[in-house]
Amino acid sequence: MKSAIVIPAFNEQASICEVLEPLLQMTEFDVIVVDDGSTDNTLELVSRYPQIIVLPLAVNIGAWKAMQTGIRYCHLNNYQRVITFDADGQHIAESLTNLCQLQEARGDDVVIGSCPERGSVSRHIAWKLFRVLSGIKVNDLTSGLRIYNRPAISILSTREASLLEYQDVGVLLMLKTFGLSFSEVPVDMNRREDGISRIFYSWGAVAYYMAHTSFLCLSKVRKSNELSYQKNIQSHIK
Amino acid sequence: MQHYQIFSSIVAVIFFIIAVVLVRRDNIHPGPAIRWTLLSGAILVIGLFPQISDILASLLGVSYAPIIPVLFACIILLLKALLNDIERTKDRVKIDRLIQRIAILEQKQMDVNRQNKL
Repeated sequence: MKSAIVIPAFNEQASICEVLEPLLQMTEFDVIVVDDGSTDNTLELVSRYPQIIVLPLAVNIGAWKAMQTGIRYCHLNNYQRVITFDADGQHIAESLTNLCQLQEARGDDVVIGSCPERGSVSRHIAWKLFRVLSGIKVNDLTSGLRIYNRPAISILSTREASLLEYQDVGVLLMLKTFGLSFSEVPVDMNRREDGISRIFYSWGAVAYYMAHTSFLCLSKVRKSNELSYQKNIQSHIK
Repeated sequence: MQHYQIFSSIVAVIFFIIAVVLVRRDNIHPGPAIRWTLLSGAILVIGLFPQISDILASLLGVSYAPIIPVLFACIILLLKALLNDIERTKDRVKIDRLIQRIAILEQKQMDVNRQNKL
């Protein structure tokens, strides 16, 4: 199965090499790094590895859009599976094998590497609120360690997905609308080395994120199930 | 002609002239140009003949006639702001997807260059 690991990176020169080294040992995956307009040496460091596919964005367009660039690349090049991985050193390469095995065994469209223990009390309250509002039964809503299969790659490559701002609840809501299935696998994660999140870098950003995601949950919850509906129609036609 | 009519006429004529000159200079697409020309025409008519507001006010049952053009102006401006936000969102998606496509094409070009070196 043609698989790729997509890593969006913005000013990650401190951690990017340490993140890439163990991933490059896993020859079954292509490694794609999307440089999100970094102003440090991230792009130069990544370009030293000839086996890595580098997608250099001309300007900074945000974590999700950078991720979507990698997903669109995989969609165009017929990858069957995409693994999203953070560049800040939080995710552990060894956990990928377990995640992939589980996805193959269960056949779920999306598998999330879950580590709810890492969040603070306030983050847990926010997750609980979003779970109630969105109806998505996933414990770790903000985990960036995910596996998407081909249907999920197709949906996330669309123009509609370009309207999203974060790779968490909005993405899951969109996939849920199309009837895709999710599963969660508990994984270990490292503590963030620099301690600053790209989403929660200030109280203003936290307030915007909370308002944005709550609104998204309330406005996007739909009873219709487009993909299941289309599958049903196709099965009837056959 | 009353004092307020002179003032409203001057304002309306100035707005009409500015709008027509800017449209004639091709500073704006033909679609919005038509809308602005029509709007400046309507402002010119109401500015020259403010009595139209009095007639409209009596028809609509509004006791303070001068508020009618103000109300319409507010509605038009709010609608325009909403339409502008919708346009801006569409443009932003287009730009973001173009940036993504450029990155993908740049990678392809780097690949071709690398193969040519080999």
